[in-house]
Amino acid sequence: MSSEDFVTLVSADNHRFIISKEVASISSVLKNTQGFEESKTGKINLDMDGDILECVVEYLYYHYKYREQAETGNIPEFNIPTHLALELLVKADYLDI
Amino acid sequence: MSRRRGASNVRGPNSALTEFLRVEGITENFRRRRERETEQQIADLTQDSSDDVNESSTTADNTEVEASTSGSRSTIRDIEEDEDVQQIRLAARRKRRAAGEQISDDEDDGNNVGDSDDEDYVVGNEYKIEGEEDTCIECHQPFKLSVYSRYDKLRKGYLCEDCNELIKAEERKKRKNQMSAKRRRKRVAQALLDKSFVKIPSLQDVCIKVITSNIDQVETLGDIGTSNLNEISKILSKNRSLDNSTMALFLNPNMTKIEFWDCSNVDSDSFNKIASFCPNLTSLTLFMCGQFHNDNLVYFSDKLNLNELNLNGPFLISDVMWQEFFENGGKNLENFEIRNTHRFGNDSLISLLENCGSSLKSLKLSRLDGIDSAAMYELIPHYLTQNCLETLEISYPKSEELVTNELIINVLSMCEGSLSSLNLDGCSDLTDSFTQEMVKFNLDKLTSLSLKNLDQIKDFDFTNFKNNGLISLNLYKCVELSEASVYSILKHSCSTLVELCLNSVPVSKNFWWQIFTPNNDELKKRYLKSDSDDESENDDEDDDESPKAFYDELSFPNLTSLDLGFVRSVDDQVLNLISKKCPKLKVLEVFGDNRCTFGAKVREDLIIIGRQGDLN
Repeated sequence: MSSEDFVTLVSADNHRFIISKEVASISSVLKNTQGFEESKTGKINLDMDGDILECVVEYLYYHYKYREQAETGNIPEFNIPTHLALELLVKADYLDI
Repeated sequence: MSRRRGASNVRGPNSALTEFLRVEGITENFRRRRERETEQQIADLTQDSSDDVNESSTTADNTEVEASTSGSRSTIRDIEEDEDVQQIRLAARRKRRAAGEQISDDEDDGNNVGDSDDEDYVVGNEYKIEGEEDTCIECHQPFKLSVYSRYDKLRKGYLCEDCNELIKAEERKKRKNQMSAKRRRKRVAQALLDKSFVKIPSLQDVCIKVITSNIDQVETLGDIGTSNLNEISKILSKNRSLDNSTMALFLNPNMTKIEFWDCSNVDSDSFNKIASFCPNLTSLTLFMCGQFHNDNLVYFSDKLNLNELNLNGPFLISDVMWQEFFENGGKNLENFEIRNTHRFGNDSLISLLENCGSSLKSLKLSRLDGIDSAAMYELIPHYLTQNCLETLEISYPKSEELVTNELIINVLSMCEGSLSSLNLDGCSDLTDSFTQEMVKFNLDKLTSLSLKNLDQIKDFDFTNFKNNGLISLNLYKCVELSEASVYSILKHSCSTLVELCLNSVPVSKNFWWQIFTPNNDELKKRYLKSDSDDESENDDEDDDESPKAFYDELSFPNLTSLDLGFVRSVDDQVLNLISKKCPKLKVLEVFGDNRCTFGAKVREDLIIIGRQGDLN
C-alpha cells in the first residue's frame, strides 16, 4: 500500500494515529473530510484526547475486522475503559460510529 | 439379465401388465427383437406406468439421443444439468442394489439397464454386469465395473472410481454451499422477522452499555460537565436508551435544566425522582412522556418552581389536573409547550391563560384535540401582555376553522414588537387576508416563520414588510403560493436565510434560472428584451403582472439547509446553479424531483438527498 492509502488522525494533545483510509471511512465524518484540505495533507485534526482517539481507532479496526462476520453473530465483544464511557459516547456520536 | 435370473426368486410387487408379460414370455430380449421390427408400437406396449415422461421419450428416440451424445463428448459439468432427476434415480438404484434386492420388474429400469446384445448401441458402455471391464466415459481409461460405478445417463456410459470420486466431491461441495447459503438466508430472514438487525454494535451502543451497567457508580464514568450532560441526554434519546437506570446519570442537585427527548422508557416513579433529586430545576423538557402521570404533576408542582415546561404526549394528565397545576405550581411559567394530548381541554387553556398568560414569553400549542372551540383560541390575545410573547406556535388544531385570520391578527397586534418565532403549521383556514395583514405589522424581530400546509395562501408580498430578514422559513406544501410571492419573500430575506423549505411550492425553472443568473448576463438581457417587447418599457425589477416575469439575481450567503422536495422544476442545471450561488449550503433535499440525477456538478461538500439514483 502506498502512503495514499493512509490517513493520520491527530488528537488534541498531538497523538498521531496512522490508519488506513478504508478503515477511517467507516466513520462517515472522517470519510467526508476527504474532498477537503484534509485529503491533501492526509491529516485530520480531531478535538479529542489521545486516549479517546485510541479507543476510537481500536473500534474502527474492530469494526473493519469483523464486519464480514457480523451476520453469523459470533464476534467478540468490544471493550472500552469505563472511565472514558461518557466522553467516548459524545465523540462516537460526533464521528457517527 | 443373466445376473437377475441367477439370483434368488424373491420378487417384489408387480403390476398386472408386468405379470401378464412375464406369463406370456415377453421378456427383454423378446421386446428388443420386436422393437427392431415395429419400434414405436413395442415401445408403447412395454411402457410401465411408473416410467416418467422423460424416460419414455429417451426410450422412444433411443437411437437419436445416442448418436448425438456419442458425437459430442461432454464434461463432468454436463451431468449436473439433469441432476435432480438423476440423483433421485441414482439414489434409488443404489439403495436397491445395496439391499441386494432382486430387481424383478423388467420394464422398471428398462432404459438405464441397457442390453448387451443390442447392435443399436454404438458405444460399448451400455448396461453391464459388475466385474466386467469397461472404459470410463470421462477419462477413457479401462476399469473394472462395480455395483457402485456411476452410470452417466447423458453420455450413456459408466464412470471409473476416480472420476466418480471427483464428481462426488464436487456434489458434496455444492450441497454444502447450498446448505450454508440456505442457513444464511434463514438467519437474515429470522432477524428480519425479529425486527432486529444483525450487525456490529456501534461504538455508541458499546458506550451506552457500559454506562448503563455502571450507572450506580456515576463517578467511575468520568467527569464530563453539565453542558455535555445535555449532549449525552440527547444522544441517549437518539439511541432510544434513556430509561429508569440511564436517567440517574442526570439527577444531581446542580441541574437547573433537564431535557429528555424520549421518555417512553421512563416510568412514573422515575419521573418523581427528577423532582426529588433536582430541587433547583427551572426548566424541564419531557418528550414522549406517555407515562407521565397525574401524581407526577402534583409532585412536581409541590417540589419545583419551574419557569419552563415542555411536554410532548402527556396524555395521562387530566383536564382537572392541568387546572390545578396552573393554579398552584405553574404560576411562574414563562415558557410553556404542550403537544399531542387530547386531555388538555378548553378549561385547561383558560386556566393556563388566567394564571400565566400575562407573563408568557413562549407559548406552543400543537395537536391539542381537547380544545374544540374557536372562542377558546380567541381568548389568547386578551390575556397576553403587550410585547411580551416571543415565541408562538399554534399548530395542527383539531379542525382548521378553529384558528382564524382574525385570531392570528389579534395575537400579532399584541406581540408585534417582541415576536421572534411564529409557527402556524396546519392552520389551513388561514387565507390571503391573514398574509396581507401580517406584512403590515412591524415584526422586525421575527426571524423564524413556519407556515406548513397553508394551502389557501396565494399572495404573500414581502416587498413592504418591516422586518430585518428571516433566518428560518418553512413554506412546506403551500401549494397555491404564487411565484411572485416566493420571489418577494426570497428577495426580502435572501441575505439572512439559513434554513429554507419550499417543499411542493410550485415555481418554474425560469424562476430558478433568473434568480441565480446575474442581471448583466447576455442571455438574461435578451430574455428581458423579448419580454419588454410585449409590455413596453418595463425592465424594472419586479414585473409580476406580465406572464414573463423578470427576477433580479439573488444571493444566499448564509443558506445552509434547503428543501426543494417536489418542486418539479428543479433539475440538474438548477442544482448546478444552487451549488454555485449558495456557498454555505450543506444539505439540499430534492425528494420527488425526478429530473435531478447524478449528472449534476455540485460542490463536494454539498449533500444532496432524495435523488432517485440514491436507491441503487
